[in-house]
Amino acid sequence: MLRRLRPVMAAAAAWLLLTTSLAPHPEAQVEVRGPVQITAGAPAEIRQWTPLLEGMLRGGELRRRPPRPDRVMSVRSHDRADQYHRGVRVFGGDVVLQMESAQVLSIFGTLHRGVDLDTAPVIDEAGALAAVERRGAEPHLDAPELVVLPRDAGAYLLAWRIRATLPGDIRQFFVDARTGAVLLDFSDVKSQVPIIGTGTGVLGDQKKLSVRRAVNGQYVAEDGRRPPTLRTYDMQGNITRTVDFLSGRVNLNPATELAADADNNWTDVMAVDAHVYSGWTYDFLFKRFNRRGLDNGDVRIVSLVHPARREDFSTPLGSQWPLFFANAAYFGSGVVAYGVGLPPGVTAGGRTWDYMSGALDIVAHELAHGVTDYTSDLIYLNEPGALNEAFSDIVGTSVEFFYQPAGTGPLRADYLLGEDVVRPNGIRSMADPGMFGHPDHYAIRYTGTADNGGVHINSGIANHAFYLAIEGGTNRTSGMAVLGVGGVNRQQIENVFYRAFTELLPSSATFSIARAATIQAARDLYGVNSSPERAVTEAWTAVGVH
Amino acid sequence: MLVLALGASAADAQPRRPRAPREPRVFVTVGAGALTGTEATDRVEWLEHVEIAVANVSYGSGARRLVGGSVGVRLWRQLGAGVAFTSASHEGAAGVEGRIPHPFHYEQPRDISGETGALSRSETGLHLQVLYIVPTTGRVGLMLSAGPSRISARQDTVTRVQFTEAFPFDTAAFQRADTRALSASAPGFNAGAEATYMFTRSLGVVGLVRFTRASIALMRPDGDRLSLDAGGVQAGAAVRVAF
Repeated sequence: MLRRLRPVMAAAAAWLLLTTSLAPHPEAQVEVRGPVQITAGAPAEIRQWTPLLEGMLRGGELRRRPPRPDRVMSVRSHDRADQYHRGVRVFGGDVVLQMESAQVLSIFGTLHRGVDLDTAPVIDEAGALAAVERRGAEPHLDAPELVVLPRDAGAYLLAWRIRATLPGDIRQFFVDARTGAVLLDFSDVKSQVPIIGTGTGVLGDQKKLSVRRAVNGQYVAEDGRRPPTLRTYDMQGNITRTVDFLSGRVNLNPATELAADADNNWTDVMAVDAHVYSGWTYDFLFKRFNRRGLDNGDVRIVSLVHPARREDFSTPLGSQWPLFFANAAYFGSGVVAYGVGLPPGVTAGGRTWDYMSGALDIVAHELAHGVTDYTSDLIYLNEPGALNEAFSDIVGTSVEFFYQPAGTGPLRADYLLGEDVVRPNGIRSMADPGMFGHPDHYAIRYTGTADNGGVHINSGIANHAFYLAIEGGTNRTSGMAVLGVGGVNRQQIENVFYRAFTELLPSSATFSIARAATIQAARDLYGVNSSPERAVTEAWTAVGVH
Repeated sequence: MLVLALGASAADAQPRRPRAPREPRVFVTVGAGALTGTEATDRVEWLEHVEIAVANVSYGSGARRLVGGSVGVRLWRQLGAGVAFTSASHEGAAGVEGRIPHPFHYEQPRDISGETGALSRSETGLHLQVLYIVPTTGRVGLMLSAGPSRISARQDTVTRVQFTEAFPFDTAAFQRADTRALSASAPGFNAGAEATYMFTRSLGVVGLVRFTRASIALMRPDGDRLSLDAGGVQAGAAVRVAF
């Protein structure tokens, strides 16, 4: 214990000596205004600065931090002191003393002389925070700090120092405490090096995660490698917080609410899959369609996991917010919330429901709604709504085939939707919509008002057309056969539907317009009478859309 | 490489005459030459994107400059003993071919290839020799030598490859190699022959050929080793002074 205390005692002795025994040096009495650099290594230089430091310590203009022992030279210690002006810290004003026993060996620092500033702010903390938020930044939880901000030519201003997050950056803002203007802001990200972690997904599979290391040493689910801001927040089962965020009543704090892991070997399976699959979907859109994210401009992607707790399903919250259990939803502006599934032993539709982010096609499906929002903006009602859903199913399935081997079972690409987490068989089938009671032909389409006019029901018609155009086959209702382009050429049909749904369709498109648009897209991309054009035409005809 | 050898002058091989001056017993040789190149391959592994990145490095060197010297003593009749010192050095690039893991996906490495900057390779050898002075007449002499060697090698080795990559990260490009100099020594052997032409009783020139070899293990801090075949065929010319 004594050994540990020795550097501290020595530092205290040195400061005592500094403040009591050394006579003021005449040069120190010279009044200077502005920053003064201190570089004192020789005894004479140290003696020169001693009176100034002595006076500032006694007057409270310098306040010591706890001394730190020297990790390399154990007999030495380092004392730091911050400069204050009328109780307000002078930003960047501090000195460092290196000491051995009671002897000062060096002094380095910057002090600001001649500061004459009223330290009563006109703008309060809330006003300063609002100024930062107007810059599009999310202030961090740590309270704003009132500081004296040195400016050019020896000028000083009273300012609020605030740390805040912007897409891809954490910045320090200095807001003028008198006018509310932002005086200075700069990036406060000490390391721009993104980090790759490992994680276990919902199905127990191992994945790589693109994350970053936070200031507190934790690894957080913020992708530092892909172009857009891609974050996954852990809502920790707090439905109220989730709803407040989705309603725009609160902002989420990346510093405290991002999904996190201590050792970068992630075990929160829901967060792992949401984060990884969001990135994969972004990559798919880029590689397949040369599209940069949902808006083609790298808009943020925000995933919310654990929006509720499974055990809350049987409470009123479960019936009030079913979205947060056996569902996933796109809420606009790149925000997706994934349901936590149902408690063990509870089924819906005769199926068990796991964490919804565990299915790649579901994640891609939800993000594809964002693509639709930024392109055709298909109205989420009746036929355009069914086309909206169908496009998301098409993208979801296409992403599956892009990353996973074709087949049946977990982590295999097929034409079922959500089958990896909704067991058995998922929630929809593009190959056989009738498997879920959905129409596979326009003549038997749903015409009621439920489900926004059957957006999740009638999507089966367009889904089946997509399927037939690739795989070929016979429509059960019409009995018409289609010669598909074949699985190896699936990219052709994906390109056709992508082009039609993002470039050609109006927001109120009908199935008939979708047929015409996809045929046009096939001609645009592959020529008149091309194999894709023929396959698409036959497919729409087979499902009764003319 | 320069061969240092203790040699016998042509006079050594001549029959003694009753009034002839005493034949030289000590020979000092200094010269220069070349050492044939050697090649070494290495496999470097490091953790990258939570997988193992691999770089296969081919260290090659052409003929290396060689300097050296030797001292020899005739001990009994045609037999003698000597000690020789050689030093060879070379700078050249190493070829690198590697596989860098993908940042987002397991088992989808990207191939990279490139060349390092100039890497330094140096060898010093200390060779003990048993000498056999072939009996000859006139100014020309011939000597055979063989014995154990101690060869030290210092090699700049690749420890890791720096690369560039950008979204979508499906390719990576070689940027440069991080290197670290490793050195070690090992016992080996030497065997050679040299021909001497003596201008005078005490001054002559030497042409020599020698083969040396030692297998050296350069140990990395992580415990991995790079095996080098040090030495090679040395050929050179030298000046000899006999006493």
